Amino acid sequence: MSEGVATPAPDPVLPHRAPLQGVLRRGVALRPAPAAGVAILLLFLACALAPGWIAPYDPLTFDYRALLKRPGLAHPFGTDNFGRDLLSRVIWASRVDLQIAIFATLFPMVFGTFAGCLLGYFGGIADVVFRRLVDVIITLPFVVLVIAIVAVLGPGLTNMYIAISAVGWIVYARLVRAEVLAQRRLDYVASGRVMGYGAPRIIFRHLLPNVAPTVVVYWMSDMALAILLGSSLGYLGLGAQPPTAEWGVLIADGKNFITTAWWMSIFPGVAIVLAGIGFSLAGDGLAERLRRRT
Amino acid sequence: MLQAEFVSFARAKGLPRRLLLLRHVLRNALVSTLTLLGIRISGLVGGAVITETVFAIPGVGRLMIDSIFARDYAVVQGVVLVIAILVSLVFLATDALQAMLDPRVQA
Repeated sequence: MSEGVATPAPDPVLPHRAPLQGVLRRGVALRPAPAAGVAILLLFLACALAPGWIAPYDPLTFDYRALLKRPGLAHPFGTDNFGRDLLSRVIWASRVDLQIAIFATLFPMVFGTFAGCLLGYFGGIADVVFRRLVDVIITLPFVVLVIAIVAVLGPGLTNMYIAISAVGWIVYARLVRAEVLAQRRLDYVASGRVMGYGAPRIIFRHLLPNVAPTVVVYWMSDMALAILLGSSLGYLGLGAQPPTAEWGVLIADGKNFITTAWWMSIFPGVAIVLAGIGFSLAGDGLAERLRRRT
Repeated sequence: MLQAEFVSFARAKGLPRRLLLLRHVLRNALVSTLTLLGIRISGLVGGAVITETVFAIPGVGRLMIDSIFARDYAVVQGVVLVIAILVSLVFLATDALQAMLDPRVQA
């Protein structure tokens, strides 16, 4: 991309536009709110990718000379009842929590989208069965159902992923199914069929790209929800297990010291809130941008 | 809802503002809000599991968590069933209210 070169000759048909304006319109610059969201997410991503470089201490090493230290210069977020540095633990926890955000939503998104496409396009008995299944699942609050499944499988991160995936795909399938039902009547699907394309080609080459924006936007908010759910389960002792640093586990660790050492629970809580805000703001920006394009 | 034709009509009829807002606008606005209320309440029950554990409230959610750690699966099953029935009743109530507010909604 050449910058500062002589401006191109004005187009006789299209209105002349300065090059910079073109760049802005193409989306290098973000409006403040989504930009803040992306910045927050990048911060957590950096923490998740290289916690060893960013965190000042080891998250698991006990230091009995520094028990329950207030936030100060040596320990910006203070220390816990074993003398572990909280800043380091919060940073290492972002690795676990971003992992939850991705792993707990990836399978539901892929499988749910796939199932939704097929159900919306073909309908039939499978669709009737699916609608009844949705009725049943909706009756059970999401959190209660996930907790019940984790209870049967046993606590732990892997079982938590399985529980969330087993329930979560239904939301995506419902979303995609509704969208496919609406798009199926449009002309481009009819023309595809007239051209003699098979169902797989119409679904995956033509319908899927048109449904994808809805899915991606929902995925962003779902990742925020997954972090909330993951830390809730961690707090209850059903998700990540101590001594693994995970925000929900950290809050639970601080619970018994909340009156004397508020910093143990406050800082992981702030991290959860920040991550949630980051995903929401970035997701809203993405939704806005996709809406403007269509 | 305020831009709907029947609102302008009611206003043209000279209906007092209070009656217009209560009977015509609020009634119709409530129809879609009720659906959301039902879903919200189901989320609320789920959230209660966590809230009850945080503040040590001896409720159904606390019972569920305690029985999970006690490996008392029959109780877990029962609690999930009770919650499911409660939420179904709430959905039934919102559906009935919806049918009352808007006669076009059938069973």
